[in-house]
This record gives sequence, structure tokens and C-alpha cells, in this order.
Amino acid sequence: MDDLSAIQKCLAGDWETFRHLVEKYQARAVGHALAIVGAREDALDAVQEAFLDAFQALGRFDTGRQFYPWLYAILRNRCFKLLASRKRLEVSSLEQSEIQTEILAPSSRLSPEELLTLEQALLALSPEDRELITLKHLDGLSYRDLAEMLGVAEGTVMSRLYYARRRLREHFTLVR
Amino acid sequence: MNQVNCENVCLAAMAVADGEKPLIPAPDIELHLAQCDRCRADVEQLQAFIELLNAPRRRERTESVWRRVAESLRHSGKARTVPDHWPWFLLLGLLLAGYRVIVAASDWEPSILFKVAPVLLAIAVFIFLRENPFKVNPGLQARISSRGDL
Repeated sequence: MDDLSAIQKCLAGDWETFRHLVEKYQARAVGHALAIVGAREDALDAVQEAFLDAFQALGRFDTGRQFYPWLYAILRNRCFKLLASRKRLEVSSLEQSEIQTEILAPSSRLSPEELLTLEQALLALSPEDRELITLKHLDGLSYRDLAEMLGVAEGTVMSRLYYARRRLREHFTLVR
Repeated sequence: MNQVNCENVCLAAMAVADGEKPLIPAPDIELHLAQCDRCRADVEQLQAFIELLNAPRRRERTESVWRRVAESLRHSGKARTVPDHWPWFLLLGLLLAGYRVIVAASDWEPSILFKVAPVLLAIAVFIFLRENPFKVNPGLQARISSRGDL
């Protein structure tokens, strides 16, 4: 079943068809949420809330667009809301694993130590920087795709990416 | 075209390293880098770092959120089930109602309305609620089965 048929069935009242969309996109959504919020449980909460928001807003979904970019906009909104509420509570719960990376997959080109150092440096960044860097490098998005996904101009993407990478490099050198 | 200064040259060199079109022509970038030691060192470090960042992939996730989403939808009352075969139940209801009307019409009395009205009302309620009265509740079925096992 394609996304559009699933959405149309949901809108017709067959809400269990929404399962198709959840199961198709949950892994990608959890990965993206984790890159923003930095903690697995928070990421799962944000993804759950994002899917619920999406279900409620399905009637407003523009069928000419793809589903995931639309869901991603809802998801990042949920992630930043979650982070804002966490700030208000003055709780920092970044899970910096000492044995295993959560965001980065093992790579043959990096040693486990380098990978862990890189992930720790990523977690030391602001959520906005972390989101941008991971979308660029882990998903391989172009400046145009990033601009569309984040709702900013391409020039802004370039400039933000430049400074985010500089900050990441500083953290990487420090942690090393 | 953007002004050729240290910041813009570094941004443009980064765009080139990312495979994007720079805002400053390549010869201008090269000329600036040849003359500015600080920018050259910065760009070299950045290029090496971009290569390092391109090495890992995103860790694949296996968590499932469907159960949590489905529970929330059920509790919030946003979810309403419409079985695909509901028109068949509607047809069956109409046939039963029609049969009842035909049988009752043979000995027509005003009291027939009191006999037919509850049936029609029940059908209307099920249609309005979009519920299938013949659907087996899986939870209840499981409980009955487990009692049977005992």
C-alpha cells in the first residue's frame, strides 16, 4: 500500500491503516529525533507525539507532497518543545554512553574510539547544530534539501553548517 | 557575486568540499587561499574533518512505537473502526428489515410500527456508530479460550 492510499483510508475512518505509515517511518523518525534530543526515551516520546499530531492533522496534509518531510516538520517541532520543557525543569539528561554509540553506526573507516569521541562531540553541540550536522552527514542531504527540510534559505544552511562544523571540530579535539 | 573576504572564501571552500556550487568562483577561492595562510590552514582542517564526518552512517533503529501510538489513539477517542465489509452488514440489515415489513404487512395493523421501529432504530444506531455488531472481540475471545484451557 502506498502512503497516499493509507492516508485516504485513514481519512475515511479506517484508523488502523495508520499503522502502515507508523511502521514504515518509525525507524527513520526515531533516528532523527535521537539526533535532536540526544536521549533514546525522549526520542521515542517525541516520535509517538509526532505521529499522534500527524494523525490529527492528516486532513490538512497536502497530497502533492511526500509524507516523511511533512512528518519531519512535526517531529522536529515536538523535539524542540520537549527540549524547551526540559530546560524549564533545568534537567539535563543527555545519555552519553561510554560503551556504545546511539546515533552513529559502527564504521570500517573509524575506530570504535574515534566513533565514540565523535558521538560525544556531537552530543556536546546544541540540538540545532546536531540536527544540521547529522542530516548533512548521516543522511547525505544537499544544501537545497536541508533548506527545504529546515525551512530556511540555502545561504543560511551554508553559514550555519560552517559554524556548526567548527564548533563540532573544537569539541572533537577537546574530547580527544 | 559575494565579496571575497576570509569568511566568504572559507564558506565557498566548504561548499566545494560538500560538492555544492560555491558563491565565489573557484579561481578567486584559490587565489585567496594562496595568499592567506590562516584561511588555507582553516580550509585544510575543515576538509579533513568533513571526510571524517562522512565516514559513519546513522545507526539503524529497531524500536517500535505503533503500540504506543495505537493505545493513545484509542484512549483519546480519535480512533474509530470502520470495517471494510460494512456495506454487507448494511445490506443484511436492510433485507431483514424488508422481510419483517413484508411479513407484517400481510396482517397490517397500526401496531406494526411498534414492531418494526426498534429494528430500524437498532440498524440506524449501528450505522451511526460505524460498529459491526457481529464482530468478535479478540480480547474477549482470548479470555474465553484461556478459561477453556483451564
